[in-house]
Amino acid sequence: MKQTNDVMKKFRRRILRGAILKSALAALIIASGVLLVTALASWIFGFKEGIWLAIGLFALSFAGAALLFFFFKYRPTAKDVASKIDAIGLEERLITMMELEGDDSYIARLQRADAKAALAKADHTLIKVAASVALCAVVGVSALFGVGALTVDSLYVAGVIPSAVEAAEYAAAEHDFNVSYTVAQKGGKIYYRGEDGIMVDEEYNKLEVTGKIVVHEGEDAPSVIAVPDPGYAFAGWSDGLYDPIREDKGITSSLSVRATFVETVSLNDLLDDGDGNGDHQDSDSNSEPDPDAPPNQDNGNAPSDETPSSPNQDASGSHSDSNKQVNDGNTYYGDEYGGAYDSAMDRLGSGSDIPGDLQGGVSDYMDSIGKGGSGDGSGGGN
Amino acid sequence: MVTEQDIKQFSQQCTQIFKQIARDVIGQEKVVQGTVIAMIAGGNVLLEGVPGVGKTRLVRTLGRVFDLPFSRIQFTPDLMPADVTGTNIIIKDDKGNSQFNFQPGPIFSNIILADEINRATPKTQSALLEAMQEHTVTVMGVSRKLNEPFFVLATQNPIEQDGTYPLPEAQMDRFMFKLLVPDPSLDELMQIVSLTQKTMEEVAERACTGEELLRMRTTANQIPVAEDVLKYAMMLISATHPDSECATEAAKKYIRVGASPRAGQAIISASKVLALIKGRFNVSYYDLFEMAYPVLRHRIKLNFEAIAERVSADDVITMVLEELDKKYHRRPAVHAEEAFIVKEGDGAEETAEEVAEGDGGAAEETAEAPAEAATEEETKKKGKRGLFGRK
Repeated sequence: MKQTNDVMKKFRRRILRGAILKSALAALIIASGVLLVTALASWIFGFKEGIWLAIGLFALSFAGAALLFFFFKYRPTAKDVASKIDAIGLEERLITMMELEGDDSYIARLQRADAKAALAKADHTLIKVAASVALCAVVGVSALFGVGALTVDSLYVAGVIPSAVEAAEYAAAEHDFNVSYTVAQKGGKIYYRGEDGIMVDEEYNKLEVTGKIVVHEGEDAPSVIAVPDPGYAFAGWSDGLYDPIREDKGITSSLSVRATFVETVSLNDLLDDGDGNGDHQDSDSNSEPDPDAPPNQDNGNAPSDETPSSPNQDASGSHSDSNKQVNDGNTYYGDEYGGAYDSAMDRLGSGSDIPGDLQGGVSDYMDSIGKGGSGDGSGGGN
Repeated sequence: MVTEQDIKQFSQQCTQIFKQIARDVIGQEKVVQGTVIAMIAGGNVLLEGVPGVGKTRLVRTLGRVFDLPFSRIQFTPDLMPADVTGTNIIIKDDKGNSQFNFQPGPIFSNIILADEINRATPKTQSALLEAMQEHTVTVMGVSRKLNEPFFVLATQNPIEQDGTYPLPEAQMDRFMFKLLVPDPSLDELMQIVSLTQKTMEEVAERACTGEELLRMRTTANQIPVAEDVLKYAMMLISATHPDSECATEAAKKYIRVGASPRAGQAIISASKVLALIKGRFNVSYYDLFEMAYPVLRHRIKLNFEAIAERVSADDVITMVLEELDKKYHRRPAVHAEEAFIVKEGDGAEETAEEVAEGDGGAAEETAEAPAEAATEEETKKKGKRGLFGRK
């Protein structure tokens, strides 16, 4: 029997390797499951140390499951070994030999000798150390999920992605943003605007924008309009827009903009003081410059002898005086009408009318502030 | 108790039997081997084949090879049971008293050729039942034992069914094997014609006696069967029953009545003989696969669905075997020949040396272990279907 065992050793070794391989693969399925659960739990609940716990549990469960699988499922018994060897062409010689162990009849001895002879000639490499395709497939899928969960957890630990709870909370929360429309300095007000113009309350008072407006994420802010006080003109918004009517749509972040108004000079004053040297100074013209003012706006405090820095400044520098800027009340036309101003002045000086396009702009402005206007340039003055 | 002498004799006699039969019967290896296996195992054989393929010649040859008395009964519709079993006749003794005297029928022989057995009426057919199973004949209340060894080798023609009486299940079950006798191949046909043109004389000689045949049976019966193999054999039988817990899908679909317990006995007995003929001292799953066809094909009753779909008994057996194989993986992954490094033919000698070493030389003479090279070769050729599968 010892001889038989010696001969069977090389077969048993291969069968044992196969059993170890299968145990390891089966254990990998279990360990991958543990890794998946632990890593996912760590990520879901935002437990940053959980990644080490997941890796540790993976290793532990792999080792434990491998041992359990080996000892309780895959470890080959002597009968299993005999059956597997028989399956490579020994035609049930070994399993019969095992059953006849202890039988000393002639036929039993003959059978044993036959089995040993066959075993000695059998090729042990025919016993494949392999696992079934199904087992490998399950291992592959489970490992993929396990590694995937670990990757997600790693990204969370690295701060690349939020935890599932955080993400869920963020997704579940309503996101409101504050929108504020304020006036940078005196010179005008900001009103809510409806389809028919400025909105009014029951007593026909214009509804002025005061304080912060709360807007849900993705929704539109209410339409507002910047209306200058008499003697002032709207100069633009602090975010660079020049249209006094604002319609901020699809709000995705808080918004805070200021409307800037500038003091205007009437055409009569200009005609009276046609040299444009800027003696019509506003009391606030020397105040602090407004950082949100349009780029070509000097807030009325630029020195007259400063070298022109914008297209609507003439070579003499007189155009830097805010009193000599032209605004139609809706739009600051400094750049656009820089030349038009001189032209208009020349024409006015020579007794001709203001050009039609300028008249239209003045007329629109008058309409928007509800005063109406002839557009002849004299109605909008103070 | 089997002795080395028995093993040696078995080997020598098997070789002689096949050699002598081959002198008179050209080709038909499967049928010859199946018949010899059944005879050694003590079973009856039903041979099915068209006329002229050598069924009767084979039976006659077997009688001569085993040196056993041979009777031929031509079954016809008007054949009576007494024509088979014998009858009592009234004779007068010396004193003038009349008394019955039993005149034995042709069944009182060792080898019975029941030619065209399905032409006789069921009544006459049933006269064989007792003889086939119990090896006794009862006439007028007196049972008489038949000579041993006793075999019934019946033939039937599968083509002409007019005026035939299909054998009842009870009788079918008493045949260990149903062997299909195929048409000879072209080469075999040429050999047959060449041989018979020279002489019609049968030249096979005695290879063993009836007593030796009985001894061979005893020897084969001693071949051990592993518990797993036995269990698988019984599972195979049970799997043919559509209502059993082991029933296969094929059985549920195509079989009306499954194989009887006699099939289990038959497949094990036959597999033992086959194993020993192959030079192996244990039964393998492969032996079971080979024996499954001749043992089961006449014992399973197909249902209407099988007949409508032209599914034969052999097809159903193949399906059952395949289903069991998928479930239990008992078909050897590698056939024996592929597993051995040594060249074919060295195996028997090597094995014998091992036996001699292991038994301190006591089994030295088993150097001639009954490795039937021709059978092994045939097995390889037949592949998975085995020796006795469908053509």
